Amino acid sequence: MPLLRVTVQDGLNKAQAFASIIPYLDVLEPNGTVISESQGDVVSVLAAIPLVAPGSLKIKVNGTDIVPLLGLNPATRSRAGRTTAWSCSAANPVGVSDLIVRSAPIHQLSSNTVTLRLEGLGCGAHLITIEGTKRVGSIPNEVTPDCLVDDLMDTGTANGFAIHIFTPAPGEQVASGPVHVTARPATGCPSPA
Amino acid sequence: MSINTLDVDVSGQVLTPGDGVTTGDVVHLPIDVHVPVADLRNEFDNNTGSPGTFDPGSNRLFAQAVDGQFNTTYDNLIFSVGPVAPAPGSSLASQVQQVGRHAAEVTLNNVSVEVAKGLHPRPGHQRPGEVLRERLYHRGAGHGPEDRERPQGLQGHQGGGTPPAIPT
Repeated sequence: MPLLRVTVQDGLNKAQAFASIIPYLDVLEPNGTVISESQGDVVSVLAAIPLVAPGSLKIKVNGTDIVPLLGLNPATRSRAGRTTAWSCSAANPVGVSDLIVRSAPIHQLSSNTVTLRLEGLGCGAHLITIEGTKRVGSIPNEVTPDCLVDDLMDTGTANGFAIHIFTPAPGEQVASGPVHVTARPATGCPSPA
Repeated sequence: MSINTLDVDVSGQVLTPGDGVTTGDVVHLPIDVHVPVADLRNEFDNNTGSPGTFDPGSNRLFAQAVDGQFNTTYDNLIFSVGPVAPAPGSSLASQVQQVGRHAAEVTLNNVSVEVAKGLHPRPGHQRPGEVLRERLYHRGAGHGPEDRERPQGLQGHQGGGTPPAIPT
């Protein structure tokens, strides 16, 4: 697959840009990443979208397309932007921030990426799926079987790793020992050691 | 997996598979243990320790989990076993809450004085420090009829002149 990736690092920050001669979509982050809840529970998402129509993008978190939930219409809002404060549900609010779509035709400069941050997903495995359609004119509708045609959909997985103490409660005064301790660690991948 | 250095059996892991579209896999491990309380008298007498126990009084419960890739997560809280005396070194904020509204107002006034340092009052304009003094005088005043009249007299005092005498 002829996907050109350019990476620049200054020791602290990193930026990447992608280019391809055919429409291609690849979720690079998360990639089975383990996110510790006690260390912030923030998932960074990075996807390469060369020659993918930005107006067609769907960004699904555990099957839910968050783009319309954010009040965005990618078909009319083509400029890169930022948005915050989306909640998946009142019981388990998930924050979305720094959602930025950078995309351009092949003859224009662009990093061709989708980036966003998800906060508060909680424990267990979470599926971040991004899908779209090709830019108009980027590849013929009918190609020979020898041509590689990407399905323009990819899924990344983030594993939330957390442990919660249920008893005793914070500040509780236990009359005497032994102390009944109940807790539950949870993750998206097995074998906590 | 450990709770206050007490190793916990991890053989009871439960896998809840996801459908791969809207839910992912979740592996959890129910923990239900009884942690003993140390016998401090015995420890002092025999010069021994008992790791993996709680002490009488305040305790910090620290639960930590490490996965197969050495990712770490934790939770912690403070609780007590048996009665405990109020901590003498509690935070200023909690002390203010305990003392009540009166002390809180005084604290806020002190803050305003610190901010006002170095400011020069405009002619005929009251300085914040004088506002504080007046309020403190008012609070420190007695209960006689002269003290009740005091605020009216203070309202007429403006500018950077000599502060009024403190009522005794």
